[in-house]
Amino acid sequence: MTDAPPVSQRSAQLAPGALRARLKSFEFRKEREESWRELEELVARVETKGIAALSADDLHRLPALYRAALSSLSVARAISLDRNAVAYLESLAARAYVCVYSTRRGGWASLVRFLDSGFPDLVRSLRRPLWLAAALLLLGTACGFALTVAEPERYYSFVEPAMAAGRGPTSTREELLRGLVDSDSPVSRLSQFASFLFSHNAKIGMACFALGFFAGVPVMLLLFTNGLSLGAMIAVHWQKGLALDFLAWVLPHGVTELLAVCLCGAAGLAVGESLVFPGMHRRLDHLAERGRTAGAVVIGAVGMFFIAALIEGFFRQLVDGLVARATLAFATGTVWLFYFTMAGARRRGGAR
Amino acid sequence: MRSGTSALRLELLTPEHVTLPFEVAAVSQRFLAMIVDLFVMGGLLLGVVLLLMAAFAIGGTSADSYIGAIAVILFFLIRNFYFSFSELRWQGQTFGKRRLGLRVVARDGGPLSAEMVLSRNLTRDIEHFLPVIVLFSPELILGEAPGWTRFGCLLWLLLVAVLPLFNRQRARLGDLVAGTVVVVAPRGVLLPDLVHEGERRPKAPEFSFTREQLDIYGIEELQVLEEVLRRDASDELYGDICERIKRKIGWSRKRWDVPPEAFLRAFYAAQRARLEQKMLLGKRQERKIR
Repeated sequence: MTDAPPVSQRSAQLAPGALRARLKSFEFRKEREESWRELEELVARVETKGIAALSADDLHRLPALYRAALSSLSVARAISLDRNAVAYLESLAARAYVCVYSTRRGGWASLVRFLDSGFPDLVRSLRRPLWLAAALLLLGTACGFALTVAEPERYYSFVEPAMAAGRGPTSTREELLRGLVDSDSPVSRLSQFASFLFSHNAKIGMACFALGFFAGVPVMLLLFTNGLSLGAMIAVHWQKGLALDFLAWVLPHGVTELLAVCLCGAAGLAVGESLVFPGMHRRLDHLAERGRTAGAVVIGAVGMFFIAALIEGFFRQLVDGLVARATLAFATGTVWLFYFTMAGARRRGGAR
Repeated sequence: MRSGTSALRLELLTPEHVTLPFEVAAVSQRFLAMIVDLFVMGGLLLGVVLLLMAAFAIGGTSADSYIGAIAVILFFLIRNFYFSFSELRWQGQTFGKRRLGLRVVARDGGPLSAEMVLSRNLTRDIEHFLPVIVLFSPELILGEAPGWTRFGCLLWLLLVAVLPLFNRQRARLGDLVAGTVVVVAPRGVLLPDLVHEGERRPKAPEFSFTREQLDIYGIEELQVLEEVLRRDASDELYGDICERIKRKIGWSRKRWDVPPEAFLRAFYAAQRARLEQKMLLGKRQERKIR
């Protein structure tokens, strides 16, 4: 093995001078290195100061340089054995990739777009789980009502003490009525109550979405038990002949709130459905696809909880009578109905 | 927890159809990032409390319930949207992720959309805060549920919390729902080309290799040699490697005594030229032939 190579092969020796011309990877690198450095500098600026730090010119250069780096990477993988250069290009391309393909900071414009068309469109895409969620809630309400009417003691197992606020089957008509007229409490105290309600409800709504991951079963339970307690409350008031007053008390904000509850439930059910019935897709891909839609719907629903809390905390104080409250409830219901059926559809029709 | 084990690789296909390698972030790194973020969150909440106390002092009792209402809403927003907001603001990084060099990317290689960021953070409450609460004060959540239900719930929640340990992409529930992966933010330094460096050195005509000598080693050995040369190893190591290569390729006994480093650099350049030439002709020689 230590023998010198045969003399005849000496002729095949490579002269050192010829080396440079033969090393295509070296030439290639020399040609492109400048644009890599430029991209690296841009990317470093985005990484430290955010995409807003780039001037309009730089913003224009970034995708072009990124694509150039990707093509450099493809070429380098094919022709170069300089491991450091290939690794560098891989990391440079990856860094530029996250800058180029990360969230745009839309600000107000994207919020307006979401409210104008995104949210109603997404809600309509969840139509089926939404019906299911509403049906479960209604079923729960009916069961809660029937069971409490049959046996008033059950009220205590359906309604949490905090929510009942002292009201129960043993309350007199006057006590119940007092609970429905909250004009005696100062508005300022109610604002605190409303913000508490909002964060409480929104938290439950978000939990609903997350629980959808477990095949949607906890979501169904949550919707059903929510219905149970609502039904039980109605039953108690109904037995004292206050059913209408109670509905007028609950519905002005309840329309919005229950709709938001149904939306969160629908989002959770959609997530669960995508896992259980993936159809033609791979399970996790389908989950990811539905999850994004459902997540956006939940964000919209959080906004609705906020509106509901505003109505509950402030507007209900201004309207006291049965008719006025019913009108308010009806009005909010109509607004939501039109919003979810009409908004966005116009735009979609125009796009076709 | 598992940072010591070999890093998990993830190949993303960009919209331009080029695969980019990423390193999946270790659970321990993500945990640390979360701790940092929780401290930031705590700081923000504390700031809100201090501000409100100042507001109380100025506003007096007439305004206190409004201030209370604002406090509840601010707390809610910070607690639930701190992560979403910062990941939207800094392209998939929170403060903690920035400190630890982590980043959220879309699993399908597409753009990271706002929906993904929001969805992956909506589940955080169930995943992290709830198990902690249940662990420390189960009464708050589980109420008076019988023992076996409580045990079941606890087990279930803990399983959710440790989910990232049991899948290849270290995905927590929110990552699965949104289709995202947390990766190590790539860092790469372009070092000078070794061949380029070699050129500036005095020319050494005595280092010339025959084709047969260059056909022995493959790409893997070449790149190991590259690493050694870049590391600026000790002369001993150079000498050792030099000896081995000389013996393997049958270096002429007449020219046996050569400065090891110069020899290795010349050999690297010649070897790379030969292997790249072969690669252009469609022959990738991965390893040495004997």
